[in-house]
Amino acid sequence: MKSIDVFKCLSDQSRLNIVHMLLKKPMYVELVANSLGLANSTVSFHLKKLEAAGIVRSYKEQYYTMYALNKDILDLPLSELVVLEKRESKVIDDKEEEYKQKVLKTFFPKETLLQIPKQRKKKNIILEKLASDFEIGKEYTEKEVNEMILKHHEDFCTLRRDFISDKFFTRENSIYKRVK
Amino acid sequence: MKNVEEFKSKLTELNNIAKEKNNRLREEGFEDESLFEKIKSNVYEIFLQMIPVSVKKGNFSEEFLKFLERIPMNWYEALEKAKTSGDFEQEQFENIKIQAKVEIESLFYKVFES
Repeated sequence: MKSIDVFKCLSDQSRLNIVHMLLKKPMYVELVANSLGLANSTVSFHLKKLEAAGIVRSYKEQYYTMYALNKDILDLPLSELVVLEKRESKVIDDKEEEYKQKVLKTFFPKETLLQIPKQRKKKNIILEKLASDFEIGKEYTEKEVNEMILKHHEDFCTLRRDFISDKFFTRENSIYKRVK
Repeated sequence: MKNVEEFKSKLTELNNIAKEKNNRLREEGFEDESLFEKIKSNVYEIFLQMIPVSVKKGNFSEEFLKFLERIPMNWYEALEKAKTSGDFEQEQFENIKIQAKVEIESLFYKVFES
């Protein structure tokens, strides 16, 4: 959910009217339509838009699909709502970091790489860890690269090749340079 | 020919109402409903343009009804596609176009069968 979607969605008088009605209690399409003098299809359209932006949620109650406000969003102060995606992206970053630490703990508990992961995402985390021993932009001979990898794992050939194929390093005339 | 003029005049009136609603709703902040009126107006304009074309072809009623059948074919297809993919926005737009077409059709029969 992005702030821009929330604001875009609310920049329509009909949807503001609907939100105003839903502040009182959850409602179904026909009830909102009758109260606002709009066609059911129009109200349904607006409610779907509000739902897509995360402002309302729907649930079944007997024969009706009820719509209720998503208080998590509407109760946010405007100052928090404007930075909603930053907060969400921080949550994503935190999750990524958590995953990364988990992978490192499994494959790289201390200084030795226990095994090279087969899964690409995990392997990338390991390569990133190995690459951190090298300075970005500095030139290394193949022998130097091998020796530095060897401190962590014996299969330096595979890992050195992976450095190149996954674009952690560039190689020119057997000189390696870390680029990320 | 009298009927054609009457039909054109009534369709123009529908178009003017949609245009006026489009402007008013936009000014009042009813953005999407304003867009719905704009879509309707576009449909009315398409068929207003088909009036002289149908007159030129000779048999007005027959030719105009052909347009009324042929032009919206894509809209029905797009409607089904939108329904299948769950694109409710597109579904609404296609429904509005089809409703406007149905309205034109009713107007046509009202004028030419009276």
